[in-house]
Amino acid sequence: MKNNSTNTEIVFSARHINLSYGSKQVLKDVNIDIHNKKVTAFIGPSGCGKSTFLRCFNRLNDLIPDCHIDGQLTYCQKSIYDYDSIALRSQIGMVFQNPNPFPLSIFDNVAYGPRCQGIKNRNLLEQIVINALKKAALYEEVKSRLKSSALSLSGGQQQRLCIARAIAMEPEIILMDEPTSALDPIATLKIEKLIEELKKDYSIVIVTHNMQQATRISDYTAFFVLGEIIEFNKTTELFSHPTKKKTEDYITGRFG
Amino acid sequence: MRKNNINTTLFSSKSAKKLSLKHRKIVDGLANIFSYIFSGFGVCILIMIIGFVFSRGSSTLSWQFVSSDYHTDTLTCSYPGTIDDNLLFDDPAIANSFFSKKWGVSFVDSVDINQEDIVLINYVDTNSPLNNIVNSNSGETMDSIYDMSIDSIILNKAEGGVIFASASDGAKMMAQQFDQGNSIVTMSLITIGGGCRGSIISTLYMIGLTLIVALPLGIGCAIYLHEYAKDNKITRMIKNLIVATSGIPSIIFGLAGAIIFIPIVNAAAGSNGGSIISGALTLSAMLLPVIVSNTEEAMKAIPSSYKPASLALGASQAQTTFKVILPSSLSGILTGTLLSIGGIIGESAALIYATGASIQDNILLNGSSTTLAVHNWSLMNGQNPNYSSACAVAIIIIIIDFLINILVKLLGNGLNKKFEGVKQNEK
Repeated sequence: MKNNSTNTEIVFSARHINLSYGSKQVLKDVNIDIHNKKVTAFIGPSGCGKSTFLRCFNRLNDLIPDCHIDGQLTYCQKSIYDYDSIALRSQIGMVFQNPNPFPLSIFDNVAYGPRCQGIKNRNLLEQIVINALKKAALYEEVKSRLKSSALSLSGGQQQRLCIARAIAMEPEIILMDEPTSALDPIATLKIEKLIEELKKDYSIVIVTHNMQQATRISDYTAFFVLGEIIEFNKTTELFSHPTKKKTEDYITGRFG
Repeated sequence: MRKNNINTTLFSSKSAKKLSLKHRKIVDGLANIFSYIFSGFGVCILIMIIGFVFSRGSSTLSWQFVSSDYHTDTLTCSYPGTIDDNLLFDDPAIANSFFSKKWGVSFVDSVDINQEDIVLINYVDTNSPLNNIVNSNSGETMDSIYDMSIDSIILNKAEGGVIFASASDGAKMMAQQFDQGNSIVTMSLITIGGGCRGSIISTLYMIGLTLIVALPLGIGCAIYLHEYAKDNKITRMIKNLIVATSGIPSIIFGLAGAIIFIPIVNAAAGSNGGSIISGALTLSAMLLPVIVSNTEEAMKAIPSSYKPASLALGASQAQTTFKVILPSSLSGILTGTLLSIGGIIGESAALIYATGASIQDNILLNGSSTTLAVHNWSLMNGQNPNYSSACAVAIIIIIIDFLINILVKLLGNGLNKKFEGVKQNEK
């Protein structure tokens, strides 16, 4: 399956997604294709359903009792509902808005996912952890204290740890839900650099409030307003020649 | 708008302001005085209660009280041989004691735990013939008679005839009589009683057994309610029921335990009447709400981001619960556990029904016995309430309770340190 996806251009696609919480419709007929090994950014004003849409990718919305989703979500040419949710989530990693490491050691945090998959071999785990930490550009900072609590790290380090934790599962797609909104500019810069590196190996979908960030790191950008995708295009195109009035207003700061 | 204007003028007028200030000072002063008086009163009462318990009980409380049996044992024994009249032992000269040089034994007037006069054997020479006395019932040589009280004795005189002495004659007379005899026809010794060793063991059994039953059930129930149960009417009803259950008086649990658990345990464990097992089951039922609500509260208190984070890493619901949520809520679970231990130690009413109230020395899981609290009740329940012993037991209970409280604080602090990073993040 993984081989399959690396050969195709589109790794994930959504068709006619309508999502509602109870009677409140949050997403209206959303269509999008996520390109393989590219960074796709979702921008838009608060409450427009970007994060909700992102959570559809790894079926985290399943946890919300009266959340109802219509439409077709396809990962590697197969509906995500045909996958076991656990298998799906181990291929689609996620990084959340606030750094949320578990109250465990740094090592145990990164090893959490692989351990849940049943990997017990200590050497193998060590390799996975070190590899993931290196990829997340955190290894040099923490290599001497892998056994100490993850909560002793700074906010930016914690967020990179969360990225390492996601990478340790060797996913196809990494979803990032405003990963830098809780961080200071320096930590943000580090994460952005990291994303540049990571897109060589992973398809990344990132929700951001920061339009500069979207222009800096993303290849494709989708602009959301009130649960609809107003415009979806290559980032350079979208920001230089927006086709819709609303997009232009938003990116020039006249709206939103 | 107009109303506002009126208020402003009224408020800013000088006379009104002065009056209200004065008035407020008086009211504040009164309120402060009352709160000082009442809080002082409350503290005084607490100190008085604890002080009373300690002053009444401290004289009785001793290692002997903690380690000895409650029931006394009367041993009948004899020394069939005759002693060498010329062999005299050295007097160790213990204060207030009376020494028999011929027998190498020293007696002292004392009182037992029930404050009755006794004659205590407080010294036996290593070469004393009394080390070789024979138990009349079993025919075996007795180990040691040190620290037993002597109730009565019949001795053979060297020149013929018998002499008699009893505890009521006192230690001096006892020593004199001993010196006149050269063999013991019969001697009755009484082991020291009135202690609470059995009840301490029983309390420990009760704590262990209750926790073994209640913890898995309570934590399991909390996991179900918090993680798995859908938030619907039935779940909410169960949660409310659990909260309401914790308000039921314990004696009703005891009654239910006596009706439900005693017959079941009797059939299963071959016991007769209340037992530690039936008591522990009753207490488990009683403490379940405490453990469930504490565990659930602890689970609610952990950052809500843990669950999606774990699930997004491809962990199953069960893995999330047992690897992340449960370990993170350990502090609350421990607090609940220690609180329930306090509950077990303090419970008396339910156990009088479910375990029985007769103090035992030989503690069996399927036999009746008393925990410290019920032991206390039993001491006061008879015709002659034994205040000093009851207060001594009370001191033990209070000390255990304090220790548990300290333990809760220490554990809470220790675990809080672990979570400090999380709290900073949450801010």
